[in-house]
Amino acid sequence: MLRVLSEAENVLSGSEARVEARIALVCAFILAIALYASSFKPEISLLIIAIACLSSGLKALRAIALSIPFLVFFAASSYLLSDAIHSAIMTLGFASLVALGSVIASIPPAELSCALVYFRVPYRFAFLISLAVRMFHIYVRDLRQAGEAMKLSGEKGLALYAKLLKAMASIAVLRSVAIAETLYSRGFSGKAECFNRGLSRFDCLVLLLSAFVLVYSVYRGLL
Amino acid sequence: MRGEIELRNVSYTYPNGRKALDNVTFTAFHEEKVFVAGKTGSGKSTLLRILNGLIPNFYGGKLDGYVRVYGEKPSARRVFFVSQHPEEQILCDRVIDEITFPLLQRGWGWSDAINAAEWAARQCGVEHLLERSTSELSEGEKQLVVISTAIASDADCIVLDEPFSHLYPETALKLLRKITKTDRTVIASEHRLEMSEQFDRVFRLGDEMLVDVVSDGGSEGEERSTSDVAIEAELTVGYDEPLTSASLEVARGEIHAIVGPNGSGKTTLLKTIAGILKPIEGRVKVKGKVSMAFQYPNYHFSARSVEKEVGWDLLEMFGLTHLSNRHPHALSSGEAKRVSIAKAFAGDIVLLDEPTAGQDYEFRSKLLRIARKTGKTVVIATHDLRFASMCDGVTELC
Repeated sequence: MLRVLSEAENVLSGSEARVEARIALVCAFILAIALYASSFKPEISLLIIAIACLSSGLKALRAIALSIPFLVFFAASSYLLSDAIHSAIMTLGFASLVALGSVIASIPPAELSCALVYFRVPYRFAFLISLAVRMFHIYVRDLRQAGEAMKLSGEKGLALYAKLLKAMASIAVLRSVAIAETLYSRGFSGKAECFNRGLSRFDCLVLLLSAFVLVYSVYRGLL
Repeated sequence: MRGEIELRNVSYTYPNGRKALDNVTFTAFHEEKVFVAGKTGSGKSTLLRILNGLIPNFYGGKLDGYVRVYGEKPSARRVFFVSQHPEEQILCDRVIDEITFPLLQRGWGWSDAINAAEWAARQCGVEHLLERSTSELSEGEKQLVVISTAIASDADCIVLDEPFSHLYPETALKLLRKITKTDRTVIASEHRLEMSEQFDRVFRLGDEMLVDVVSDGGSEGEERSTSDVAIEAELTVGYDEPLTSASLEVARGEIHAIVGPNGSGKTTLLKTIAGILKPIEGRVKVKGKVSMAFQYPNYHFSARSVEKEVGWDLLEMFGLTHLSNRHPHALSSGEAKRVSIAKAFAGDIVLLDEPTAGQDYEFRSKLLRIARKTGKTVVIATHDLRFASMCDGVTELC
């Protein structure tokens, strides 16, 4: 479990984004629509995973690997409700959504808030969203450390998970209150200066590929 | 002469009914440097939180008495508050954004804010961190960044609630000298009384006399055999890359301190001894059941009451029975730390990460006394060099 949490920390780390934040947001939006428009066609799902890998490096594959237990559960449930082929198609589609999530997660929180401000989201809300993303990293670290502490005190199996859940419920509340206290102490008034980094050729390439997938999925959906 | 910061006959009760301050009168003049001393739980943090309006505006509760800060009601605009836990005070992803954040909130221009941030970072010796991500920093570096933010701010008063507990004494003292040289009012609380020398005045909270002495706990208890080795380690530790190398031999019943500057790998070494991390090179041999108290005590708590969490015997040993019915996550940070330390004493080999941070001298003496009395092997990672000198052995990491 501790190894899984360390891996989750790596996936959530936004310090090595390859794609500019605005492009990442637009691409994630376009590709999600493409997947829906194509009714979860497997080739569209595979294209989305490929673009996610291109934009977030190995993080997309790591994110899929981390969500394997969930994907297996999803596959089993959809198999019970339909058939094996449908289940495989839906699971692949779900994996592509996880990969898209990793593209968003790879955006550094500061760039995320500036990208949201660019899309006319008020800074107050954009900052709170980026703060929530940052808090997520802290929670994952807390979960890992609490897991280490409890494992050391001899907890095993389900008892470990139950105790961890109880501890994390309180820790999450305490952390949130402390961060809210800091916002008050810093006189948070929703004012900020935002800068977006310029677009590179790579950003344009990722955008073009996403647009191509959208057009292709609409075409496939119409057939 | 009237004080710039004035509290007269102030009493405060938290929303849960706990009375934290009773009829306190406190004054600080402009540019005055005041050191607030008091035992753990004496209400130092509560007093400091009143100064910037966190109490009662944020916490609620019942505040009685007269409170004026520069002739106004307390506000975050006039008073900058720095608390003990740096992790919970960092809001931004990059260090430069973190330091400029309060200035931008007050309407400063970007370039002015950057200049102020660079100046403050130079004062605290963290100019090399400005472009780094805050999530990559060590606890000590994070605290330095938070203090830089306070220095960069244009607040008239800086309030520091035990901000040096995560810093190596040399770094803390250097920083304290810089802070107390500013032309602002500085009010700080700290358990290490030797730091009070840097201040104009000491304000004592509570009736008890504070004793600036850590006794070594005597030698009461069982006869300890030093021939039996409990921990034997010759190793290089780190996460992905080597951080530090150490050679350690701790006898059964020995109290051993690990000291070293921020980021030298004290916590990593403790985690490696505990078996949480694997050594990058070398080996570690531990005889007995290991338990550890982490820096953040709440990681250890999952029960509904302190008694269920720790057990009556250990609570009694540490003098914490008055907390037995409380929820462990509802304790103050100092109390939670004591409870987590008491819980760690259930093991044969007790590893304590910064157990003296935020604790008064009385508790430090008590900790040594209990460690000797129980005859347990105790390894302590600490910044407190005086406390470390009272231990049986010391390993210094570079």
